[in-house]
Amino acid sequence: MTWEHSCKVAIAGVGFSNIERRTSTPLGSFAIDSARAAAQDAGIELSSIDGLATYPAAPFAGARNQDGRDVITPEFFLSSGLLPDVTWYSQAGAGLVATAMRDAVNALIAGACTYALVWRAMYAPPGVYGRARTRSFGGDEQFSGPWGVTGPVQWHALAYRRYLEQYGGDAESMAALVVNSRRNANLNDHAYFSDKEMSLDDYASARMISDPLRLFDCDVPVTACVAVILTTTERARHLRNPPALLASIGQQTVTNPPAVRYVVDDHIESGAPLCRQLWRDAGVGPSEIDAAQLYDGFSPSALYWLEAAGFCGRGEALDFVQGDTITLSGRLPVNTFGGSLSQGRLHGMGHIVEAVLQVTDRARRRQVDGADAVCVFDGSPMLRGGGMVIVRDR
Amino acid sequence: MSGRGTLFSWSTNFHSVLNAFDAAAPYLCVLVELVEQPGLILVSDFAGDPVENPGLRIGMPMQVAFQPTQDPHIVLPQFRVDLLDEDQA
Repeated sequence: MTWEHSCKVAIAGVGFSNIERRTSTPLGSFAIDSARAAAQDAGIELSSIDGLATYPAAPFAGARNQDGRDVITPEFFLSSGLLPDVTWYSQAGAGLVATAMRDAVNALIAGACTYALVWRAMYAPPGVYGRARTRSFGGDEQFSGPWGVTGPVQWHALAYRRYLEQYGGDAESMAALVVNSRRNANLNDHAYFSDKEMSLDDYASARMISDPLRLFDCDVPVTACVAVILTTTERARHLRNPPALLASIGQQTVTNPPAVRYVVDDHIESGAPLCRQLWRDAGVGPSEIDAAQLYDGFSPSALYWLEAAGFCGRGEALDFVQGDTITLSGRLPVNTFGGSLSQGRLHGMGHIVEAVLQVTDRARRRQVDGADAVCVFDGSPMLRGGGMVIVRDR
Repeated sequence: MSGRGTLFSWSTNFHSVLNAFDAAAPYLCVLVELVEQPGLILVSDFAGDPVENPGLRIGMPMQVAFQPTQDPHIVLPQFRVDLLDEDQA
């Protein structure tokens, strides 16, 4: 039985700010640029936006969470003077931007607003990303911090090492996924590495961060904001561009022992219930998906999503991404825009926008032929997040 | 607790994001599944060469060792390959 509200809400416009690294331009300026671009893309006045939703948290250690500087909350837009008619807003405290998207969908179905702006603003601070000072660990961290396991890259490295050992994979095989993403980014003007190519050798010779993860297995921190405008499908059909319909949307709700984030089976199994819900609600299965936008804050997450979603069997994802299968003309094009690895660390927002562009035939040089249904998975399967199936209007 | 377990996973960290670990990098973190209970996994580090980690493999027997810290009241467990058990295996 499909979701009763399947395809009743659509994404009507998308907008990017510039994508920069370290910059003296305030983050608020990036946010306003992306909102203006999204409104223009939808063909509406900026001031007709009356709903706001975001997941604002700055995801790096040492963030100050100062509005307009390293985060952009709804307060920022409410106090901007640009959006005088807002009737509804939401600030997601858990999950990622998929939660904010879900909130906006609910608000539109309930009639709480007519045009909802959903954005994700990311800030890359000066210096080494996520660098922090501490002399003590409390809470969950007391069981991992004292041994130097202090953040996501180490959780992922530990999980992925076991994956490689369990299934007999070779760390260098990941180059196929990472280089494919870079090729796609080279076809995308909205990518930090738009103009920079990468060879298999570039991947394999990059410095090790946390073995087996090398530099290009980690997404590139950027300062940028990406926004979308959601409205009802009925309303969206009268706007500038064809609507991209939300066939299903969901959140990852599996809980795991919070201190143990490095068990690979948990990564894959945590994603499976969300994937089942998305297929059921949309009334499509993995075989009907024309492209997959898979979260790749660290490259192994994309492999885990392939397995959690049923695109391949357990332990088969590293083989799956070899050859032509995931290229733009392959059986399942993956991260057709470059992924977070090559577009920039936009926390899944780039993945959502790309699904919209693909199902509306607006992906230009990287357009996948006949992209009728595209899935998005946001977050590494077990660290919250969510997903959606976005389809062409018929 | 017997202080024994098996190697569940490992990773050598070359990149320190915390000032407290700058001097330690590269350092080898391990996950050890304790023999007392399946799924009981401890985060620890490895008493051995972090870069050359010779022949580590999942399931190899591990034995706790205790390392003093700068704080005389705190002792942290770390693990080394359990050579006795390795010979018997």
